[in-house]
Amino acid sequence: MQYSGELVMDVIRRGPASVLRLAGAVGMAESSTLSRQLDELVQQGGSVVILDMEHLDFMCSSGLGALLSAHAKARQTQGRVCLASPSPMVMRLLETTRLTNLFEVFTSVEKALESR
Amino acid sequence: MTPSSPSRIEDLPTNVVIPSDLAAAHEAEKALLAEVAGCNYSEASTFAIKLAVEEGMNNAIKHGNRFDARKTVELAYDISKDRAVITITDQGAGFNPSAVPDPTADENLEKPTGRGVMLMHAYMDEVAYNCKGNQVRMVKRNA
Repeated sequence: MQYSGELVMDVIRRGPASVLRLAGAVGMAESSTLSRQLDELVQQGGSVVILDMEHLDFMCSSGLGALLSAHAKARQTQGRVCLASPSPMVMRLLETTRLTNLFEVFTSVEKALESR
Repeated sequence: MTPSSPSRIEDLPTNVVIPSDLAAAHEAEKALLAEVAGCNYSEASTFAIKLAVEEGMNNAIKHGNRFDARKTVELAYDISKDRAVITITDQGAGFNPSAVPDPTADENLEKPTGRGVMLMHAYMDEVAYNCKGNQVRMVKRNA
């Protein structure tokens, strides 16, 4: 297994929700880019941000920190950040850190959209 | 990235010294992971090594050397088909790893930082610090 080391992001609007698709890896160098993108989406008060993690191979603690900062900011504006389709490796990371207790994790983006 | 003398704790065949810089750390990590890929480690073991090195280098640059451009980080490793041995040494004052709060405790769950040391322990087979607390040695067996 080899990691590309690059993070690719794009945003799709789905009604009141923003779906942020992540592909590649979020290491310490990419976490600030992710954080900025999440801030931008969360600042639209009351919004739902769904992170599509299907093609995300890797995330480090700095990336988790970006998710947690966005979660806290979203809550201040009655918004939500939720996670969809994490790979088994990323899911294990979420479980190890007990962040599955904090974030709603869905098996697909569609399931996350249905939960609104 | 410059070659250096062998690691102080044990002789590891590959030894690089980098500035306190995330881009340099990324390049050093890429070279290490290329060796891991060449030894056919499982997906889970590869993920674990990448995570532990990322966390260790981040801690060394950010908390150890505090991004001081005059200080360096030493990454030494021995990657074989059976196991990966990795040491990361910074030039900071060191820390007491047992004093790091448990990031999985309810009261710390929402804090955005403080998970690096716990993750290194969770994903690697062995993690040990020197007395000063500025060098970590980690081992992952290829399972």
